[in-house]
Amino acid sequence: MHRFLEDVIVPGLSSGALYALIAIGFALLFRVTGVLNFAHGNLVMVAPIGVLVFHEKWGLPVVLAYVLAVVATLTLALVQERIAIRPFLKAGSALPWIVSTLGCSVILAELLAIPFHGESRSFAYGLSARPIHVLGLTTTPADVALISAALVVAALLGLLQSRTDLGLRLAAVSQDLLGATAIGIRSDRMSQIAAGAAAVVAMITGLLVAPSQLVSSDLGLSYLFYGFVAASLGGLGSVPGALLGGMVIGIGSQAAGVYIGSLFVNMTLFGGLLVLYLLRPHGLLGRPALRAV
Amino acid sequence: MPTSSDPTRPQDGPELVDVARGPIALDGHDHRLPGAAAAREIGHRLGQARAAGRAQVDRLPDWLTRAAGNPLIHASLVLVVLVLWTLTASSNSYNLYLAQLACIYAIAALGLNIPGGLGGALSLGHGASYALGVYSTAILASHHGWPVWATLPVALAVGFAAGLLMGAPAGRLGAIALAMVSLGAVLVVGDMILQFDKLTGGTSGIVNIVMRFSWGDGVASASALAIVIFAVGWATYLLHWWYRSSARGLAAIASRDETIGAAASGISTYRVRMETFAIGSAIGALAGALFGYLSFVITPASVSPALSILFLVMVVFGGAGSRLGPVVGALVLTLVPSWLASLPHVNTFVYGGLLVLMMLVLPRGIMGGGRPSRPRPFGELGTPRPNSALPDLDAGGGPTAGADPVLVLKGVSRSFGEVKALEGVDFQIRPGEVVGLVGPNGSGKTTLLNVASGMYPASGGSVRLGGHDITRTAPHRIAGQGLARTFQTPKTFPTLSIGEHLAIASSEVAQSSDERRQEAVDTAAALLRMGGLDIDQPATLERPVGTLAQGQLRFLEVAMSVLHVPRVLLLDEPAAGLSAGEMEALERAAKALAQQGTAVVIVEHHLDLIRRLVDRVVVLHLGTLLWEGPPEDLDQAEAVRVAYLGIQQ
Amino acid sequence: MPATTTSGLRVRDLHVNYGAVHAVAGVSLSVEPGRCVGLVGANGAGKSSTLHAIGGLIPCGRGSVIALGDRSLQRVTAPQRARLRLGHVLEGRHVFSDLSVAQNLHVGALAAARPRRAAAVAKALEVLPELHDVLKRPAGTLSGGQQQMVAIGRALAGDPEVLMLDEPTNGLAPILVDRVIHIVREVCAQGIGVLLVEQRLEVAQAAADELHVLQHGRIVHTTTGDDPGLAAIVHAAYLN
Repeated sequence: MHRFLEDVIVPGLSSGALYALIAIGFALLFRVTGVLNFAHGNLVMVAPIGVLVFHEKWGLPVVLAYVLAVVATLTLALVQERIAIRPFLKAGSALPWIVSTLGCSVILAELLAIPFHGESRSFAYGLSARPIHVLGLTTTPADVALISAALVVAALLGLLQSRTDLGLRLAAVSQDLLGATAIGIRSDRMSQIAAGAAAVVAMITGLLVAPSQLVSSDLGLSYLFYGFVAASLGGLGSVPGALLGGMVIGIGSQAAGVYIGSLFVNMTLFGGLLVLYLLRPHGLLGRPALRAV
Repeated sequence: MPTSSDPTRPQDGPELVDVARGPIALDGHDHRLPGAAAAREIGHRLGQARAAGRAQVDRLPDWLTRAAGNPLIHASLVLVVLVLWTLTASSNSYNLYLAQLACIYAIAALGLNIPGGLGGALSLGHGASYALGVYSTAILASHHGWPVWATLPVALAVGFAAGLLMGAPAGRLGAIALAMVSLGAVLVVGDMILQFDKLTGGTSGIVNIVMRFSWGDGVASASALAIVIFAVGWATYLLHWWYRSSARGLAAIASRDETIGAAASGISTYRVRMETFAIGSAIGALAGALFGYLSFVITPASVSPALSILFLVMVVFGGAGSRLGPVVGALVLTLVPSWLASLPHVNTFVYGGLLVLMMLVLPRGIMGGGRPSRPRPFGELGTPRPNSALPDLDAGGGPTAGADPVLVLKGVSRSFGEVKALEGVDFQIRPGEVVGLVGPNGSGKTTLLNVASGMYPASGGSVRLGGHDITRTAPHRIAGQGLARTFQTPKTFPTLSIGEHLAIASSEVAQSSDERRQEAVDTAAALLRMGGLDIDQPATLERPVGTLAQGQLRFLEVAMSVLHVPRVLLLDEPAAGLSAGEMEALERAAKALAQQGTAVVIVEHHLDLIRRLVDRVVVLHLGTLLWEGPPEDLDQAEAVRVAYLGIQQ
Repeated sequence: MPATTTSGLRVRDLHVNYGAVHAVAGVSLSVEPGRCVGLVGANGAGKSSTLHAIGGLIPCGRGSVIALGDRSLQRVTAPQRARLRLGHVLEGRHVFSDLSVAQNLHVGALAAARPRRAAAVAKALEVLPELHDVLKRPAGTLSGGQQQMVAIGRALAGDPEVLMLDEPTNGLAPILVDRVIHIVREVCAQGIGVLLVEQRLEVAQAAADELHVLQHGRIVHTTTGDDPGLAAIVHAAYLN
C-alpha cells in the first residue's frame, strides 16, 4: 500500500497537477473564444527558458530574470491572440484557428530552440527538487507547490467567474457571443483577457514544473496532447473539469507507466481518449451539446 | 448559437431556425490585423491574377487547352521529361535527389488532400501513415530482402488499414477532436517504433534499405529507383485527379462544404470519412515506403509529428481540395527550404509564419479550390428532351384517388430543452397531392420538415414513409428512400459548379421507372432554364454556384431535389425572395411534380401562392395542428386569422 | 413638425447589402423618447436587417445616417452603441443559459454608467415583476416566454434611451403576446423610445404610436393612429 502511494499516487498527483494546469490553460481560452491553442504547450516553456536566458546568458539577477520572463510570456501570448486567435473568434469552422495556432507553435518552438541550440537544460532557479518527507511519503517541494498551485488556480478562477463583473462578462461571451455584444460587452477585450489569463497559467505551470524536469523547447507536443486529453475528459471549457481530468490522467498514466511500461502510456491515453469520445463526448463535467432551435 | 463543450460534434451547417438568415457579422467589428484591408486586397488581387491566368489559358486553341487539361497528357509529358533527365544526369546529382524528395512529398500531400482537402477533415495523423510505410518497407526490404513490387503493396495495405482505424472514430468527431485524436495516433506510432525495437531497430533505426526487383537479386541502380519514384508519383497524381472528378470525390466535397445539404442529397458523411481516410492513409504510407528507399537509412527521427504538420502546410498552402494544389505546395515547400538550408531556423520560421499568414490572407491557398470538374450532369438519368417545358397551372391532374398516404406523421412531438416546438401533430399526404403548410414564425413548420426528413428524431410519435418507419433513420438514408427536401437558405455547395451539383443529385436516385426518370430530367432542365441557366451550354455547367443569384440558387436546389425522383418533396419557403415570374415557374414545377405522382409539401408565407397551388392547407400554431381544409376556406377560418394575423383580447 | 430635437434615434437613408442582395434600400425613421415606432413587413422585407444595421451588428452603406441623440453611430462598434444607451433585444432572445436571471440582469446593467446601474435594474424589475420569482434560476431552464422577459429585462437594465425589439412575440402564446404589448407601452411611459419590429400587424398596431410598413427593403407606408386602409396595404405587402 505504501509502495502504491509512493510509486503511483504521489507522482501521479504531481503529474496530474501538471496536466490539470495545462488543461485549465486550454479551458480558459476555449470557453471564451472557442479556440484551442495548439501553441499552449510551447507557451508553458517560455518562462523557464526565459529565466535561463536572462540569467545564465545575459547575466541578470534571478529576480529580474523572472520578471522579464513573465513579460516575455505575456507579450508573446498577446501577440498571438491578435494575429492567430481573435480573427477566428467563435468561428464556425475550426480549420483556420487549428492551422494558425499550429503555425504559432512551430514558430515558438523554433524560437525557444535558439538560445541553447535545442538542448535540454536543468533549471535550478525555482523551488527545490530535493526529496523531502511529508506524512511519511517521499516528495519534493516543487511537486507540493505544483499540486497546491493547481488547486489554488482552479479555486481562484472559480471565484473570479462567479463573483466578479469581469467573470460575468467572460461567461456571457462564452455562452452567447451575439447576445453579449448586443448588451455592450467587447468581445475583443474579452478575448485578450482570456489569452492573458491562459498565459499566466502557462507561466505558473512552466516555472513550477521546471525544477523537476529538464527544460527543453520541444516538450510542446506531448504536453499538448496530455493536456488536451485531460481537458476533454473533464469537459472542454470547464475549469473544475480540467482539474478533475488532469488528476485522473496523471494517476492513470503513472499507473500505466508503472504496471504496463512507459512506452505504453501514450497508447493508454490514446485508447482512453477514443473510448471517451465514443461514450461520453462532452466529458465528465461538461454539458451535452443542445441542438438549438 | 449553441454553446457546446463537445468537440466531437461534427461542424454542421448553421443552426436550423425558423427564420431565414443572411450572413451576419458577429459584431460589425473587424477583428483582423490592422493591415486587414491590405491583406484582403492582396488575397483579392491574387484571386484576380489566378482568374486572369485561367482566362488566358482559355484563349489558347481548343485542342491545346483540352490536351493541357487532360491529366493523362500533361502528367505523362512531365514523366517523360523526368525520366529523360534521370537517364542523362550524373548519379550524384543533388538536384535529382531533391526532385525525388519533392515527388515523394507530393505523393504524401496528394494523399492528405483526400481526407483533408476534399473531405475537409483536419487530420494531423498523416505522419503516422507515412511512418508506417517507412518502417514496413524498411523491415521487409532490409531484413528480408523483399522486392519493390511486394513491399509497395504491403505499405499500401498497412496504410489502408491504419486509415480505416483512424477514420472509424473520425466519422463521428468534430474538427477539434479529430485533430487531437490524429495527433495522438502519431505519438502512439512513435512510441510503438521505440517499443518494438527488435523489429524496428529502436533509436538506431534500420540501414541498408535497398530496392530490388526480385527476391535475392542484386540491388537496383539509383536511376531505376528514381524512375520508380517518378512513376509512382505519376500514378498517384492520376488517381487523385480521377477521384476528385468522380462521384465519390464530389460526395466528399459536398459533405465538407455543407453537411446538412449533403445528407439531404443522400450522402453519408460517415462513409465519406472512412473512405477518404483509408485512401489518403494508404497513399501516405506509399510515400513513406519510397522515402525509405530514397534514404537508405532511417531512424525514428526521420518520422516525427513535425512531418504531419509539414504535410498539412503543403496541402493548405497549395490549396486544399484542388487537384494541382498539393503538388504545388510540395514543390515550394521542398525546394525553398533547401535553398534556405544555409540559414538555420529561417526555414521553420517561414513554415510557421506561412501557416499563420495563410489563414489571414489566402485561406484557400495558392490554387484556391481548383477548377470544377466536368462530370455528366444527369448521370444515368439520361438527357433532357429538347422541348420539355413545365405544364401550365390550370392543367389537370391531382391526387391519385384511393392511393395510400406515402408520408404519415402520427402524434409527432419534438422539444428542444424547455421549448416544445411540436406537440402531438398528425399529418399525412398522398402521392400526387400538394399540401400547403402555413403558420407564423415559431409555429413549428420547419421543425416538422426537419423531423420528417430525419434532421432530428421526434421526441414522441412516429414517421412513416411508404409504410416504413423512419422515425429514427438517418437523413441520408431517408433521402435514399425517396424523400427530398429544400431549405429556407439553399444548402448548396459553395465550391462546386452547377454541373457538379447536378451530378451529385443524379447519383442518388430512388427506385423508379424509366419514364419517371425522363420526366424528372425534363422537369429539372426546364426549371433551370426558367431560372436563366441554359444547361446545354458547357460554360453554364461550369459556373461556380457562388456566382448565382438567390432565385437561381433556389431553382438549382429544387432541380436537384427533382433529380432524386422523390416520392415526397418537402419545400421550405421556396418562394422567399423570388420575383413574381420566378414564383410562377416554381408553382408550375410543383404542379408538374404532382402530376408525375410526387407528394409535395410546401411551407410558405405567401398565402396567394398557397391558394393557387395546393389541394389542401394545414395550419400550425405553437406546435400544434390548428386547422386543415381546402384553400378556398382559408380566409374564412377564424382560427387562422387568430394565429396568422395576430389578435388582441 | 417641431424643430429638430437632438434626442432619440434618427435613421436616414439606411442601406444594407448582402453581396448582390439589397436587403434595405433607403429606410428613414426616427424614434423619439417615450414613443413607440413599429416596423412591420413580410419575411425577407428587411426588418431584422434594419435593426441589425442600427445596432451595429452588420455594416451599412456609406451614405446611411444613424444617430442617437446628437451622436453619430456610424463609426461606433456594436458593444459601444449599447453603452451609449441603444438597447437591442435580439430575435431568438439569446439569454445566457448558465447564468441565473439575476446574473443576466446584472451583466446587462454593466452597459449602464456605474452610478445608474442599480436604479436601472430596479426599473427593469418594476416593469417585469414576474422575474422576481425566478431570479435564482439559470436562464436556460426557463420557458420561451420567460426567457423573452429576461432578454427584455436585461436590455432595460442597461439604462437605454432607445430600446429596439426584434420580433419579441415570436412563438409566444396569445396571453404572453398581450403581456409584451403591455410591457412596451410601459417602457414608453417611462420615457424610453421603442423601435418594435413585428411580423403580426395587430400586435404592432396595439403597441406602436407610429407604424411603418416595409416591403422589399423600403418603407411603403407610414401611419399613426387609426388607418382603415392599413390592413389592405399590409395584406398586399405581405403577399408580394
